[in-house]
Amino acid sequence: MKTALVFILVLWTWQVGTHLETPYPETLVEFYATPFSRIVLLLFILLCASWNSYVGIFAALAFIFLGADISVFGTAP
Amino acid sequence: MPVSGQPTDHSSLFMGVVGSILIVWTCYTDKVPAKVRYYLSSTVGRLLSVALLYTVYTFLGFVPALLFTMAIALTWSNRPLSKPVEGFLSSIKTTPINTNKWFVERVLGEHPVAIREDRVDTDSVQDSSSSKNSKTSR
Repeated sequence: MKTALVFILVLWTWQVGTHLETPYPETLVEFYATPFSRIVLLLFILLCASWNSYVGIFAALAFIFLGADISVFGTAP
Repeated sequence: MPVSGQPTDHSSLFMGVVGSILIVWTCYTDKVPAKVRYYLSSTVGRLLSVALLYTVYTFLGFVPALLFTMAIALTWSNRPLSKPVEGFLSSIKTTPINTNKWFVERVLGEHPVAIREDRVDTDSVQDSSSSKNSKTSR
């Protein structure tokens, strides 16, 4: 289970980080844009990190990529 | 190594306060003042941040350190490219003119003392229309 999650997160980060025009899912962008749901997303990552450190690290990496890309290319409030 | 043992009321309160600050900071790094972001992404700021990260990991543990790492990484990614300026034309770079005048300046009788804003920022051409209206010459 943990290995599968880490593998999925690595694949996700690879897909987003190596392809220039890979669009994020619209739902995820809208989810990140809302202030409350952004905190919920972060708390979910912290929950993952307290469950398993490897899953937490890769989920945090995905969150960093999402936040950095949206702040550059998007119009998050 | 992280501190182990039974947490006291004070330490859990401290963890709660620090955790809340880190959560808010991580979620709203783009709302941090531009000057703070600029100084945090300078060489000294980065070294201090990494030292602080080690301190957080040593005294508070893995999860707050992960949170701090996310906050720092997002702050660095949101850094302003040039030093933020407060006020109107307070610290814009001016280049003094020491060379000969241009022909146009001689003809028009101009006596420039300095060049202000010799850096030009350009953006790529954006076309949001759906129709194809471009022609290329070969």
